[in-house]
Amino acid sequence: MLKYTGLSLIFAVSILVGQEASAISRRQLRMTEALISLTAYIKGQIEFFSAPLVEIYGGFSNETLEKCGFITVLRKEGLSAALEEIRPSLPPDVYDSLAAFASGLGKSVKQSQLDLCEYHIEALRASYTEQKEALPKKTRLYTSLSVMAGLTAVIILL
Amino acid sequence: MRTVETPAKFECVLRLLPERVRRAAEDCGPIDEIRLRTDRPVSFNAGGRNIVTDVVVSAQELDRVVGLLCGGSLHAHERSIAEGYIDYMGCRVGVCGTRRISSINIRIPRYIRGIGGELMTRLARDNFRYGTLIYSPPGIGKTTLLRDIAASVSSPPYNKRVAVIDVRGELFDSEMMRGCTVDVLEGVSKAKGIEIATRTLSPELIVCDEIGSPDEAEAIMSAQNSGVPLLASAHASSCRGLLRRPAMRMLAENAVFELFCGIRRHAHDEQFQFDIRTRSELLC
Repeated sequence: MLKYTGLSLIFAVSILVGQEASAISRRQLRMTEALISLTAYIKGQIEFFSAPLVEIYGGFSNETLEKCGFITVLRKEGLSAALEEIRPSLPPDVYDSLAAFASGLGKSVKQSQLDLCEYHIEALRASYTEQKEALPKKTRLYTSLSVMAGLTAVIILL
Repeated sequence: MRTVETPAKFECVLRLLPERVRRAAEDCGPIDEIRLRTDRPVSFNAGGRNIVTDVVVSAQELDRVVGLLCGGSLHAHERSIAEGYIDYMGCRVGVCGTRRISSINIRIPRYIRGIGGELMTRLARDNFRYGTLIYSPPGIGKTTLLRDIAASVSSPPYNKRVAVIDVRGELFDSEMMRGCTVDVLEGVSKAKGIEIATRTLSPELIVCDEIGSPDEAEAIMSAQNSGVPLLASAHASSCRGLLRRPAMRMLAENAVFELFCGIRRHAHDEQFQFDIRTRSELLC
């Protein structure tokens, strides 16, 4: 009886690992979406109001980014520091793009800033589309792998 | 005379500077201007003296200071940079260059109360009815004097309604003008500011700094037909020099100003010497 309980547990854990891997992919997608909206917001505020970054950060809100503490750090320490805070939850290409964006933000005239925003919005959108297209495949892959891994473990232990 | 120092602002400015410059500034005592130039010596202006240090700042250091002066948002200051300045907490920072700033001049504002002296007595005698133009070469203290007169006129015993047109954010100071009946219009052109003030604030005196171009003078003239006296300043070394400037001549001839006051000040001396003339004396 104990043996079967153990095997069930191993199988369940394997399935959970697969689900967590899928959840991470979904979270990354949501994060990317939220960061696109932040970038677009920054662009709009610069374009129409020439607003300073402190004001822009103070006026932005997004549930996903608030939950992970990004907004708090953004308002206190700026975009670079806030990105560091959520770096583990971001796909590397999204992080790299945003880190480059953050390093150039506020350091040039309006038109250059708008070009910078536009360039990175494009890059983030491309990454978002890629992630979104890959998500169902990834979910299927993680589910299959976890079930297979669980079953293999169970068969070996049986 | 009562002097109101500005240690807080000076401290704020010092915090932005590279450590070497900060130490040199602290050693100099009271400073009026701090000049930073890429790959050239940093200099200070203290009480009319030009103090050249052996500290040299790099382009990166200057960029960093400019970034801090702009609060990390250069784009938000683009327009004022194109006009040659950045407003940092009421300190006017003169800048050279737009895309690449090669030198900056940070002016530390001074707030000295009760320096209006003879001019203030004259204005009060006329019950502040006449437009007055204060002129002097740069760096003598026109803005300091204007600020003091604005604060004095708008506080007891005069309690006049004063509108301050503060285009560059350096004329009005909330700390110094606490308790004064002053309305301040920031970020608008002088002509527009005068028009808005006249239309909506019914001031008894309008104060603005540094009238320059003929366009500006023309716009001021058309906005200035309401009868509200204007107290302003302009760069000129003498009354003759003043009248050689077409804009100033036009304003004088069209009776925008009735009094013209040249000011002078010796180094380390806070007292001004006034040369007050009426319009007819000036024009004859």
